[in-house]
Amino acid sequence: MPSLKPLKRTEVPLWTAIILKGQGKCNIIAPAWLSYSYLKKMYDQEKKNPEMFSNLPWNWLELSKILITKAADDLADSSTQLCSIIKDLREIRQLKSKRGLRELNESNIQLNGLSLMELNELRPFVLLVMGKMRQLHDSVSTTDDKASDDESDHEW
Amino acid sequence: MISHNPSVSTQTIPQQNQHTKSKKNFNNCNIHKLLSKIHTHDFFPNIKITPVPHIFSSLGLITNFSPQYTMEIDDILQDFEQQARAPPIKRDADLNQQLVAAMLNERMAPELLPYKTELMDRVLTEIQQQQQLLLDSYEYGDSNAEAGVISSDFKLQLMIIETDIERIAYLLRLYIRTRLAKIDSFTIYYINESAGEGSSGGIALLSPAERLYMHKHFKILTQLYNTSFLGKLPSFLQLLDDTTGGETMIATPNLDQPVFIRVVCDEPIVLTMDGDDELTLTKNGIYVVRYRLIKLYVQIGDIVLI
Repeated sequence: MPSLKPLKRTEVPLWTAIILKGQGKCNIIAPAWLSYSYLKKMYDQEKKNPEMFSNLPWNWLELSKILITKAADDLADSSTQLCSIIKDLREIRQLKSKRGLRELNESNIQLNGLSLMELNELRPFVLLVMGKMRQLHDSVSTTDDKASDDESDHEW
Repeated sequence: MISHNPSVSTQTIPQQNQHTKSKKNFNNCNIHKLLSKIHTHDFFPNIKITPVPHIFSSLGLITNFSPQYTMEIDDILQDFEQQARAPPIKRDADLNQQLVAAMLNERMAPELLPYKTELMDRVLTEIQQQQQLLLDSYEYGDSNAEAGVISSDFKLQLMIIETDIERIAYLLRLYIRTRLAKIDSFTIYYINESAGEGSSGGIALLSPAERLYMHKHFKILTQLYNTSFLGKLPSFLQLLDDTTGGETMIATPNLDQPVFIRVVCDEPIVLTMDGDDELTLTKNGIYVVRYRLIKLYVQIGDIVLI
């Protein structure tokens, strides 16, 4: 932990900053991506490339939520504006990830670009479906092996 | 779900007590309270200030009090500062991250991972040190409260240390509870797995405490089963680990369960799927694959589960 001096910028863990902020002892410098213009740019990018996820920090949803509730006065843009753009961004990304679910198969899937919270939203569904598909796949291939006799046809 | 420790920049607000300084100072507390009322953000960017003693000298304990204090107190303070700086806070960040990674891996893996003996030992000793420090400083705070030496900053620092301990303790608890839950559901399997390992000295799957817990728990459970219903069944149905008839009764972790992973090593990893397909995992990629395929990479740390 670096020593803290008045008017000097220091990097501290988020939770410390929140405590200090709560005591009125510091201002939080918002990360560069948490501004209306930047998020807007990301939003436009998302719209333009329907296949790609734009580049956002790993924890962007959580971070923005915390900063908007705890340190709204330190942010450059008004919190309502930020909230609405974040919501738009989130929805468009959700749409994309749901569309991507069509490619779900039993062995693997690649999910680059999604953030932690978005992954967690998908997790229960993906795990369940992949588990089931795996089971189906296994039973298909085992029946396949001994399936020269066509009695097992009805199983698949 | 908790993850890394995101850092943000802060800017410390100066305490503008230049002109009150002359009047100090056995009611330091009151001045601080007053100041915190005066300080609103509205005029913060405009005021001109000569920075006064730091609010924090470090995340150590003591603020720099002004020199008016007698030598005696200064000595104590210095003592305290040295003590407070001694615990390696810098290393803590690293330790914290290791702990988070260990916890996440454990939580997301379908099977029990080897117990992180070294990491746990270090974390536990550091927590103990910090708690001792906290106790000491509370004592110090109590004995000096009337004299007004204790500023609200001092309390704030204690609070921050306390919060830190709480955070780490939470991670520890989560880690251990996850392990216990897994041990509970696959008891017989792990009793067999860990049978020969206590003496052999290799990487232990379970800590001694966990092993003790597992055996005791199993004993109690078996007793309960026996007295409540197994005793009344015919003897060939009484086994808990029956493997005859093609079905094993021993529950084993499902290694084919898909898991979410992230690649952290620089080299791309090539996995061979069962259909002879190859899947290349590149750095920072996020994938969902079967646990069995990446098990080894998790253990050497090239892949983390998320």
